[in-house]
Amino acid sequence: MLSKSIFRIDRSILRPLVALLVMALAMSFLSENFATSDNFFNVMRQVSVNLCISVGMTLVILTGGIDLSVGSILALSGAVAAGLIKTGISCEGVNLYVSFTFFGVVVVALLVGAFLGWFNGLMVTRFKVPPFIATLGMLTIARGMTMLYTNGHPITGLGAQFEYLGTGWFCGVPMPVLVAAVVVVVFALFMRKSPWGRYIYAIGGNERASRLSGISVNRIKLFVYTMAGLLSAVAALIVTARLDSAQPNAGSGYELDSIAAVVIGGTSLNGGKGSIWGTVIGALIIGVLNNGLVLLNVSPFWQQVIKGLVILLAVIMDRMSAKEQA
Amino acid sequence: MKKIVTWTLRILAVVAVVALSIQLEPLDQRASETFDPTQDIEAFWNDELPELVQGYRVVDADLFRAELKNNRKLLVDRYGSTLGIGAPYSMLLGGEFEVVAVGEELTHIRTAQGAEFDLRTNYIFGNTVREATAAFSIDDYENTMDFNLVSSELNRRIIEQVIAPQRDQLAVGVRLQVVGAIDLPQEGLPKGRFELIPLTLNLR
Repeated sequence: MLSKSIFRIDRSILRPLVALLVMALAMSFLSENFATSDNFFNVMRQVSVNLCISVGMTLVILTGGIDLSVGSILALSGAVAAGLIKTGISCEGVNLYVSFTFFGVVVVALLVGAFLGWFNGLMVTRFKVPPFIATLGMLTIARGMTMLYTNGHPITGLGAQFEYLGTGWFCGVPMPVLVAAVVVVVFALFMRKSPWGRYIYAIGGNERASRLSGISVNRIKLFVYTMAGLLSAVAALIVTARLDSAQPNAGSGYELDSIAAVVIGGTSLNGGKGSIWGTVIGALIIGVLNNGLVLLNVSPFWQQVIKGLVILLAVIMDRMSAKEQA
Repeated sequence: MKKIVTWTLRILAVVAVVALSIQLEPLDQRASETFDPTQDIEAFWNDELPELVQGYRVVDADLFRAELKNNRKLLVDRYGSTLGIGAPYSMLLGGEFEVVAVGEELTHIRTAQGAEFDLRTNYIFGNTVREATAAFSIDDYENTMDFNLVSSELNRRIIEQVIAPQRDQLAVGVRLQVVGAIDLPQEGLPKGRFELIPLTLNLR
């Protein structure tokens, strides 16, 4: 009963689902290297990072907001994780050196991401800064802090245990894919089963009505932005572990890929409509598109043009569908 | 009573997370194990660098300008050093210059024969200096982070020991002798003037 409810296919995601299947089918005919198990796992590994970020972005967009800072939060969380592994913390006054275990590094990285997301939420709810501006500010702040923390250099050589998170396999599944799958299931469950999940839809649908009906809008929004930050940190751990290094410019442009995945997956930019499963399909479409175009030897410049056109098409279809329903 | 139990459990959870997250050890014991870039470049800074800036690996600023047009390959082969594919060629360049304009980060300088450069006088980042000296190899370091710390330390010393004592004396018309590090892109030229990071700076 429970599982039926979680995995129930929303009608709104049928269109992107069909698009994904058609695209995958076309790519398999056009490139003999596409439909192979190696490439399948390759695509899944690539998608897993965007997927983690996009789940958080879905929550934000469902409330009618936007988060442009996810890429920078990813960079800072990854840099902090790598920095703690490599150098720990020295307390000279008390002649103490604090080194971090793998568990500790994960906890601190997640806390950094969650804190920055919470800060975004605070700006939006308490100080009424429009989400676009608040998160644009955080985009610059977090990127600058990453540069300061890393001194503009990558932090490398993070050890086998940490690397396993990005390159290891568990029960025949790559670790990044497993992490992304857990994130998706947890948040799909949360959105379907918890009252807070329903409140998120309600706020995006009509914020004023939600407030008047007793929903603590600010609290929910604060939670949503905190989760977006937290999930960026999850993605940061995957990226950093996969590369075995934290790059100061990591995550640049990831915000656009995640917004694209959310929109292509059928979530309305006006909020109130969409689903985590739609975002999964959106992220897969972006992943298959990226992978397929590379396999077909399409110039990277054309790849950008094509990706942009796909996003535009998705938004136009969203508008047309909204019109039909009205 | 219920509150006390709840708070006790919460505190215990936090203590458990902290205990699982960190390990403590005396700092002095740790210090001997970690890489110290200050110590690592001490000998280079005091003994090798003064010889290097007077040696044959420093290309004259005017010669650089001429060879850039005539024989770029010679410049690269004779003076250049690069980290690898895609990275620029870093090299040592020296000459006598006159200050044309003074900026917050960059000072426009020119030789008597008209070769123009931007002398960097603040905020030095990257590996240009380390690579231009060709005195450090990644193979000598345990990881790239330690290798990069060498760059950070070199850049810090240049700001504090080379530039800071003379920054206030830089003014239009002042003549100066500089040996510094520049980056030459693998292809093409930089959009503006070449940036010169000083290793020695003598005002006349």
